Amino acid sequence: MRVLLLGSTGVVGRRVAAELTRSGKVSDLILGGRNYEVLRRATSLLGDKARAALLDIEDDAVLGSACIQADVIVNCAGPAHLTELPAASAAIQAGVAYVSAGNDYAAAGAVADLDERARATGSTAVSGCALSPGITTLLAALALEELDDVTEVEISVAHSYRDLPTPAHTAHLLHTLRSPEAYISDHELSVDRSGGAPHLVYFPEPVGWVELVGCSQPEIHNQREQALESMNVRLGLTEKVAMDALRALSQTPATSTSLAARALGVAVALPPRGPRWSAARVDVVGHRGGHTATAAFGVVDHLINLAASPLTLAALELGSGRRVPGVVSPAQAFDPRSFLAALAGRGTRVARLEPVPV
Amino acid sequence: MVAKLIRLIGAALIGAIGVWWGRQVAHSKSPPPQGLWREISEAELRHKGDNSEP
Repeated sequence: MRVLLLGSTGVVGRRVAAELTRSGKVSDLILGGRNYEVLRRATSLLGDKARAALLDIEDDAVLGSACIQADVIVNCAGPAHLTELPAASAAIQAGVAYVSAGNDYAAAGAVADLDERARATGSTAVSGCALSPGITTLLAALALEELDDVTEVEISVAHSYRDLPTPAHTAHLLHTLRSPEAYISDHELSVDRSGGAPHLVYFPEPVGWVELVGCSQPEIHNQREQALESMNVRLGLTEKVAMDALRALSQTPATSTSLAARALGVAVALPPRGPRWSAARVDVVGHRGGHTATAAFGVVDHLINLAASPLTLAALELGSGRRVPGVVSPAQAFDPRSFLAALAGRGTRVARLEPVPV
Repeated sequence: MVAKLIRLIGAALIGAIGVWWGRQVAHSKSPPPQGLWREISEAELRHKGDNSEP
C-alpha cells in the first residue's frame, strides 16, 4: 500500500508517519509538506519506506499529481477550515481513498457535497476520522446498537491544551468558537450565534467534570440519517482559565493565532487546571422495547493518541481494499466494534457510564 | 483629570479581576461523580452484545 501523508511535519503527522512505517502493510510512504529541509530530516528518520514530496495543498496541480502516486491520502494538515476541501477534492479527483483529521463543520459540508463525484471516481472519502468526528461517531454507532431508535445525541469533547499546544490546534479552537453554533432542535438544524450558557459534563476519569460550550462540528453531518429530535456538540478545555481566555479571545476579531497561543500558554499554567488528558463523551437517548433508554460512552487518552491512532487505523483499513465508494462517515466506512477494539488495544481507554451513585 | 482617569481605569481593572476571581471560586467545587465509568476491554468490544452487563 502506498500512502501520501499531508501535514506530515506537524505533531499529529509525525506520529501517524511513524506508525504507518511500522506497519507491514505500507510499502511506500510519501511525506507531503512545504518545507523540504524538515521533510528530508523526517524521511531520514523513518527509513527506506519514506520519501519526501514538496507540495502545497493550495497548489491543485502539484497536489493532484502527488495523489495519483498513492492508494490512500491521509490529511493531518490543519487547520481544517483551510486544508480539508482542497485535499479531499484532489483525492476524489484522483479516485483514491482519503481520510483526514478534518473537524470543521463548513469544510466537511463542502466535502459531503462531493459524494456523487467520489462515487463516480471510485474514491472513498472519510472526512474527519480523529477524535471528533471519528471516535465520537463510532461511539454513537456503538450506543445505537442497543436501541431500537434514537431521538437525541449529545457529543461532548474536552481537549487538554497542554496536550497539543500547536498553532494548528490553536487556530482550530479559535475558528470553532468564532463560528456559529450548529445544533438540531425539534428536528430542525439551526446554525446561529445563540452563545448558550456553559455546560458541565462528566468525562471518564481522570478528566472528570469540564465546562463546555456549544460549537459547530461535522458530527452533525454524520448523524443526518437518524432523524434526530435534538443534537448538540460541545467543546471545552480541561484547563479552566485557558478556556475562559479562549472564549474571551474568540470574541475579539483582531486576535491572531500567535497572540492566542501566547495568551493560552500563560493561561494553562494558572489554577484551577484539570489533568493533562483529553476525553470525549457521547450520550444517546432513544427507545428500547417501548421504553426510553439512554447509553453513554466515553474515551480518554492524550490528544495526540486520540488524533493519530484513529487516522492510522483508518488509513490501514482503507488501504486493505474493503471500502465503499463515496463520502462516508467513519461509522459507514468501518466496523465500530473492531475499530474501537483496535483503539483499546493501543491503550485508549473506552468506557461506559453506569448510572449508579458512587 | 489624569489622576481621576487613572483611578477610574484602576477601579475598572480591579473590578474585572474581582469578577473573574469570584467566578473561579464559585466554580471551583465540582459536583459529585455522575456515575461510574466502567472500562470496556478490547475483548468485550469485539464481542457483539449488550455492553451494559459487566
